[in-house]
Amino acid sequence: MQLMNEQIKKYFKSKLEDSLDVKYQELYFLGQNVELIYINSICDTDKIQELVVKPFFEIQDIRKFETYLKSLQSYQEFEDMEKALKEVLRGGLVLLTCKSVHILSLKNYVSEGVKKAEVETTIQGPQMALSDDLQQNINMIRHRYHQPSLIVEKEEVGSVSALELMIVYDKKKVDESILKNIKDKINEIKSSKEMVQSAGEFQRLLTPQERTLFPVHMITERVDRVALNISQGKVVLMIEGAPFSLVLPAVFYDFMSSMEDLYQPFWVGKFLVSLRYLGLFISLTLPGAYVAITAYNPEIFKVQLALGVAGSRASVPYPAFLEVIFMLVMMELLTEASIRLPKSIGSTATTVGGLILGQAATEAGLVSNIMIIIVSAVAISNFIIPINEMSFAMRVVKYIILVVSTLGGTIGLIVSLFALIAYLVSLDSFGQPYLRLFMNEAKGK
Amino acid sequence: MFKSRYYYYLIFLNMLANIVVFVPRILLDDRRNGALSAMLIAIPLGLMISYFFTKFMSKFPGKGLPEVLKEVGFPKFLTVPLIGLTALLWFSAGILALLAFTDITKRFINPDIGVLYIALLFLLLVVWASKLPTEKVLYLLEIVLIVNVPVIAFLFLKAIMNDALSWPDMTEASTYIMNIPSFDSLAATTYIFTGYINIVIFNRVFNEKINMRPFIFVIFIGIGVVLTTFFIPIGYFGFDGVGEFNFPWITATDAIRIEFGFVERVFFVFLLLYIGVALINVIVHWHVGLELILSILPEQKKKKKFKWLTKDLIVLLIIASIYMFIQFYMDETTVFKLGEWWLRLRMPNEYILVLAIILYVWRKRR
Repeated sequence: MQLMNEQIKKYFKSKLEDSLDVKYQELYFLGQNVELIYINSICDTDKIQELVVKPFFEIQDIRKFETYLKSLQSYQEFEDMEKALKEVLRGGLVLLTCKSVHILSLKNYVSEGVKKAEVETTIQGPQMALSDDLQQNINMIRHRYHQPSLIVEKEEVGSVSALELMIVYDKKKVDESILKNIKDKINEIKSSKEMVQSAGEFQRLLTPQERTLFPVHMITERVDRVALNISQGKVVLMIEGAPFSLVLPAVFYDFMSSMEDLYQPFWVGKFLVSLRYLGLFISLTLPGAYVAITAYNPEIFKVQLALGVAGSRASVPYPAFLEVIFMLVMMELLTEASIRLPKSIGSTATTVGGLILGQAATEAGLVSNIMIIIVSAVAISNFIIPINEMSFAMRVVKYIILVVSTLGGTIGLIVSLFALIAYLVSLDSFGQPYLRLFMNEAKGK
Repeated sequence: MFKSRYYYYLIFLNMLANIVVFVPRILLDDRRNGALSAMLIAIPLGLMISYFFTKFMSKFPGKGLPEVLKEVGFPKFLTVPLIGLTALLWFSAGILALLAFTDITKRFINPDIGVLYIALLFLLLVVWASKLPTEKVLYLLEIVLIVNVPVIAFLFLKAIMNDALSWPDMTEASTYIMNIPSFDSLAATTYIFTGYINIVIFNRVFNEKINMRPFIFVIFIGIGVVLTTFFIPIGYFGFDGVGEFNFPWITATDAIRIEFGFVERVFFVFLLLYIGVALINVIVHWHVGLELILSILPEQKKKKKFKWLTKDLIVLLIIASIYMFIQFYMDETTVFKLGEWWLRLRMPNEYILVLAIILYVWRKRR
């Protein structure tokens, strides 16, 4: 046994190198000795003191001490050296007595704690968001979902970063084939990349095609949404160190729904949802429709309206599509700028960009007044889409529709909208059709 | 798992898609030579055939026509021509609809854009979408119908409620009811009810027996659709004047105004929506044609080069180039003649096919 202890020590010394925060601590008392191996920067040193060092001197008898250790909640059986090393790297402590080896996980996870939801806000719903710490996340989910069938499983992703990944689902409700599919997929990709650090990055690995536009997994920070989705039989993946979780499979409607819809009176909820679809429609079609109608079919409008548009465009020296692209690009730049800027400067950028530029551009005769209205309508209605990924995807689709309608007029507009729907219908999210009507009824069966 | 409502969508789609182009013009050309009496015969005939064929197919849940023929032991040397002919009929139905709508687009919506350009735009979409899996075609169909039909129904209602509709002219048309029915009109009207043929492929995803109870609505809607397609243009242009138009229906909708909307001329809304309906109709036709052809073609060998050039794409590209050829070399009158001949040939062919299959299975069962 003594021999094995020596072996373990050698193994750790060879693996852990000579880092400052690696500790090999020896405790002697009345001729008995134990040795501790741990990395003090990721361990809770107070706990080590409290749970290991003090009792060692108080109990005095090494066998009693061992039984005591085994009763600790964080106790783990020693299996092999590699596992022990892994545990040490995650904040574990290896304890060598002269007869046996014990592992205690006493990690100290630095996280910001539970914060308010900021990406998906609701007015009156629950305000908590997921945190960086998986334990806390599971805690929050369990407290929202009191079912014995809730299952939590552990995996690891990234061959170097080796972050912990939790798979959470309700065993009674989940579709077994989808779950198996997801697990196979995770096994396949978990060490395909060295560093995986965020839910979004993991999502990209999960998607079968390399180049995609529409999200087929939902990234969310809301605990109530996670609980709701688990109750609908979906699988939730959470990565250590990122306050977002991945919900699979996700269909188109999920991206158009906000948790707020459920917390409002029925008709208000329905109203909000229909508002979103209206917003989506406007932000997709308005630029394309403007070009198609002014350049190809001004007769579609009433005479007064057509004349109004034409009058407003009188000073604009170039064709409608250039005008639209020019203003849309300006708007995109503005949006990007205000996202990346520090919060204190952000408002200046929007004021300068939005107000002054818009005003000046019309007065200089570069764009028409109506164009300014259209661009703002497009920008505002794009922000109505509640899930960020979908909103970004639609931002891109808008340009495709614009290009096709520039080339094909109103027919181009119709054909491109049709193609968009057909494309969404053609997508799959882990075996579930991405877009189809009356989805709930199919689920009920 | 699959609801029978999709079956009714297919029937309804075919009604909707065909009441504006070839059918009304043939009926209106025959308005003095027995169109109305032919319609009266065609309605029960079309409905009966669709009822019986659907009943027949739903005895084989989850199986398309190729699988059914194999199961009942239909003679092999007959299976290939039979399925090939049906596929050909359906491909050409798609081509004709596409030709008509390219023409309509060029004439009424985008006169500034070349016909070939419009054709290419349509083809890109249709070829890609008809390769979708069978269920997905149905999902797409459902979305398109649910989005478009309420607006189209509103416009129909607006057309019927219009003051300008001349009831005396419509009454005059109905006095020709006792004429000897014309074959052309019979063929054209039965075409409105021919959506049931799509079931030869779509039955693959209907895992249960199709619920035939709502079929009674098909009867009413069918009668309504046939009567509207014939009488509305007459009401707008008069019994004499209606013969002057190439697309009487589309021109008729230009008589309707919405006074308090962004768009005053209903015609644009109607046309743009109808193009959506026409496109999904072509997609459904070509999908059925494609699946039928694929069922009689031999298995594809694995290739190293040109992996993207699959069998289904080749078939569709051939069909698409036939369409492009007609579009390029034939004028509108020829296309219309083609459409007329196609309708004439379609009816006997289709009915012989259907009856042959039903009778064969019936005799075999006894």
